[in-house]
Amino acid sequence: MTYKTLDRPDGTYSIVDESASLYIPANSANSSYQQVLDAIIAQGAAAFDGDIPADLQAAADAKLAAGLYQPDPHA
Amino acid sequence: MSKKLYGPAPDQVPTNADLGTMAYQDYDAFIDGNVVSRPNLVVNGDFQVWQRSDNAYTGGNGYISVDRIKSTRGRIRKPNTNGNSGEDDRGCVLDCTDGSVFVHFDMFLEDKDQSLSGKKAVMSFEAKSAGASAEPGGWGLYIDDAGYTGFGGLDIGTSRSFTVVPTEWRKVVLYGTITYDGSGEYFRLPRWYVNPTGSSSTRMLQIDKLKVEIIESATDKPTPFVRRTYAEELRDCKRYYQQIGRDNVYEGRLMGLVNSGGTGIFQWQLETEMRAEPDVTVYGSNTAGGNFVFDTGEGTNSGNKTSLSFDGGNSKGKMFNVASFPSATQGSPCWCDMGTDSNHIGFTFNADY
Repeated sequence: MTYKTLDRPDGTYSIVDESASLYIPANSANSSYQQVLDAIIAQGAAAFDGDIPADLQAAADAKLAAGLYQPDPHA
Repeated sequence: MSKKLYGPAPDQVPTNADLGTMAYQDYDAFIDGNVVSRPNLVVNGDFQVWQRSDNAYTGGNGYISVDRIKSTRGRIRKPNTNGNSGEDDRGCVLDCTDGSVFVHFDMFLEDKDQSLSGKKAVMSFEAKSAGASAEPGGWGLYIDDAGYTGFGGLDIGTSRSFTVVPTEWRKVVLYGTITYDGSGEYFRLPRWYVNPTGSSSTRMLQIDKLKVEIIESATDKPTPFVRRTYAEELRDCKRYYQQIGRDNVYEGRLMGLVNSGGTGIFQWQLETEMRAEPDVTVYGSNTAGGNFVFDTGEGTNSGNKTSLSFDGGNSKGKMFNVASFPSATQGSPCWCDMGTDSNHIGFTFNADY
């Protein structure tokens, strides 16, 4: 899957997976948002259509550095 | 054992005649064993609510059928579905027979502000081996004291195995401490692992009456499971997942207004405040040329689901746009029908962990 961003009226953005018609808030409490971070960690720039927003990349880097990235051990 | 008088209300003075005929009653006979059941932290503990599906499989990782249980490459189904029969009609079945890979099932419990951190808890549930070809001698259910990072867990110290058999329900009891590693305001229960590497490779686990309760002492016994009404369970499940118009059933008309530039703007008020702002999946045909009809009264805009975008909201409501109605007057009403057959749309709102 490939993500892209969608601007919101409040100046923030949502993350969109168009192939799944899925709209994800940029909110760390949302599990799909965490999956986006996992995709950035695993795939890098290929996870996104266009540039990865700097704050999203920073969140992915922080998740990796904190040891919070847990790939499925049985995949 | 002390006896309590069961008789007239306190403001009534019994007469001698009353006293002569009134029996002293054993209070224990009125309140079963004097046991007051502790509150259950689990939502949908007897698996009454199945908003997504009654029987579904995932090759990935997510919530697929029964509310509140997350699966990794497993099937979660109601009893006596997916070609099985003879199962007791209660609880849910954790089924690993698709693909014969071992799978795990998780449940996460909300704990706002980590207020339960450090508390002792006891987890209990009933379990049996399910499936028409269940191994007659039973098999070892593995309960994994899985690690957790970034959130919490009910730490039971070490992983355990319990024998589940097809002939009877057995109660499993696990003691632990709610422990956090990170800022997440939720904790995970010990994992159910269902391993298909037994003699039949058809292992299925049926569970029911899942309960987690806070206790004062590590020797406190679990108290009985108390069934809540379906209405109560459904309301609480909607804090984590809601859907509208997904099941090919007409569920009403959604109203909006035409904004500048001919964009239709719609607001969807969630049925109850959700745990966090949910993600949204849009259902409906993706056929080019349009299966959605958004009507302004001045004309219609036929599009497909890519005409629609959710671009804002929070845990209480979400808003979306539909582009576009170039001939429509700003401020005029527009509407669309909910449901997923042709000309309808549907949404799911997910705030599960």
